[in-house]
Amino acid sequence: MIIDARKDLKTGDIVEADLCIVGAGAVGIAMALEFNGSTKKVAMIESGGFELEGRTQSLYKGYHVGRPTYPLEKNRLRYFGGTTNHWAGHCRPFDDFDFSVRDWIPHSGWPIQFKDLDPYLERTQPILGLGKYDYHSLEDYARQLGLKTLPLDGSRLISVMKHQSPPTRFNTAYRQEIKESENVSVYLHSNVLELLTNESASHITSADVACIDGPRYTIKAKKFVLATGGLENPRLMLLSNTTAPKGLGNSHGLVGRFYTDHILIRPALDVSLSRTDFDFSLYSGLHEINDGLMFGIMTVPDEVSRREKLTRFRFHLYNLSPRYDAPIGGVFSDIDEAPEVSPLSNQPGTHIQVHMAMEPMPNPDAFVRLSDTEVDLLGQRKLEVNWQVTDAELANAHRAVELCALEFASMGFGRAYSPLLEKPDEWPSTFTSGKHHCGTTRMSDSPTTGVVDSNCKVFDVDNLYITGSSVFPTIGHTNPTLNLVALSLRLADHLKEELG
Amino acid sequence: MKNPSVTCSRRGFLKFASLLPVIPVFTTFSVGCSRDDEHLETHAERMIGLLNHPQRARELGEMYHSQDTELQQYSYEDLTRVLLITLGIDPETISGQTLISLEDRFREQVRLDFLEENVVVVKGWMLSRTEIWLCSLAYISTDS
Repeated sequence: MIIDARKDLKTGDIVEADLCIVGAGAVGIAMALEFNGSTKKVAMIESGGFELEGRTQSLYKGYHVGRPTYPLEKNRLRYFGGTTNHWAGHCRPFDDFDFSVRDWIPHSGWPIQFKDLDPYLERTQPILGLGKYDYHSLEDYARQLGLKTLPLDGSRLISVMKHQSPPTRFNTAYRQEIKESENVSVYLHSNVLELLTNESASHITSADVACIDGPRYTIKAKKFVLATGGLENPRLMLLSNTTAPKGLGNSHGLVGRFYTDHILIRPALDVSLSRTDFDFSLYSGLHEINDGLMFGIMTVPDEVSRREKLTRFRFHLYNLSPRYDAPIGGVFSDIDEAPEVSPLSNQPGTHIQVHMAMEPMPNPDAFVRLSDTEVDLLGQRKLEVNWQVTDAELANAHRAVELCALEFASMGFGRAYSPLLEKPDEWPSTFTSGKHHCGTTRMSDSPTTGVVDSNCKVFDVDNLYITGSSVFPTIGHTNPTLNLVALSLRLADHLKEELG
Repeated sequence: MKNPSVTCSRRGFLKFASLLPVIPVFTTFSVGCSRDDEHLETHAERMIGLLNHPQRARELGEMYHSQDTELQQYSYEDLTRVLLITLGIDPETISGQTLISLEDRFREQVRLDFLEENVVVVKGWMLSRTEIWLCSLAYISTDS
């Protein structure tokens, strides 16, 4: 059912449900649909409607107090379907290695393993419009497509596969299913102001909900799930401070801590080709196979990460027009057995641009917190975001581009330029964040090191759960959406058991 | 992690080259033009002749030469000898057959350089140490 709270409810109303999901983005909608047709009454609370609205979107406004990156109201969307309304659709599961404790990365390690998420990843594939759950057969796929993988020997980099969602816009893809549901309702134009608790702040009793220019009402439920993203999840926890002055689940001061995002350098390298006889389109284009779209990327093997004490990173290849005039490209082309083609010529396809996405290191000094002075139009304190990148991460990025440059040269494809090679002590101008807000309510096996347990339950609160990228303690190199939806399906299964 | 070998291994490379079972690298040079020097010049010209774009190579060699203070101390003959030794060629016993395979030897050495990270960075470009030394040789040949 679809309920427009501005019209269908009045101030003082109390909505009762078995499960209240705050947020109707990918995570919230996927979770809610897991209960569709069951005996459980699900109330999904969504700040926006079905279209982008300026005043609602303005509730996302906040401030960067660390390294500045995209404006907070620009890099996510606050209406039904959430940020899937503008996501790019790149998908790949975390690897087993991503869940492990890596002794060279402080605060790394999940309390769950890949095998715990694996079955849910498979279930997530069709939800995101992806093909067969297979991320291991790049060589086979390439053969079927008449293409080749790069001749990497695996000592530095390997080729792996990403899937591409169409991309699925949850707004249009799942609106009808929600509308027709008899037990799942979405309450539009509804903003949760605070989660209210018992005296010890160990149990959520209700949610205080307000509409812009509309009624203020209450939701009571047995279980509450926050599914509002990596920035709003901690914000709502911190705003819920009537009985817990430091905010819900924040007895150890970890809510909002460890804020992290992928480090992108686009481009990280330009490769001046000394041969043009290799078809890179497996990597630079999309390919339809097994009822889905896929493409190849390069990444670092586990053993290289371990040996060199690196975080994970990936490289995407793009064919672009040449733009360098440095006297390098074809100098050694004879030595490289190249045909008589100068990379300095203006022939298309003689340069490759390489984009890098890198896993950051968990950093307790990077955080989000509530502003002391600024409030939004509902009177809620705005967010201050302190994103940081460290010298260790810069060194990590430098080594990553070295490995990539070495590989292209070793394969005999040409020579690479990187701004990081030119100035190893500076982040290049092409550096930015991934708009993947993560880590702010991290998952752990102890309340002293995390906010939620392995079932995504807030340690200090017996009926409050958080899902989405905010629970990721580390984020690998891959895009988060596939993984966070899978995690949410896992939570849904857990809650089905809990609710009986 | 930054690997110091990428930017700081030239000393190690020279050490390696000097340990090859050939005559000492820097002991045979003398003032004036000997028969050995003539041979070296011939060898140097053949190596420079392998470059596909000699003028660009010289420009590149000049860039690198200006940033490597140790290399600046080497003469044309020094560098020729080091390059030959790097390629596994004894400058004193070089044969016609060896020279024919010069290009193959360069190709293999450049490949090995990238495998073994025996590389340098010039204005943000990663290059094999052997190839940049060849460029430097081309530069010195016109500069001297």
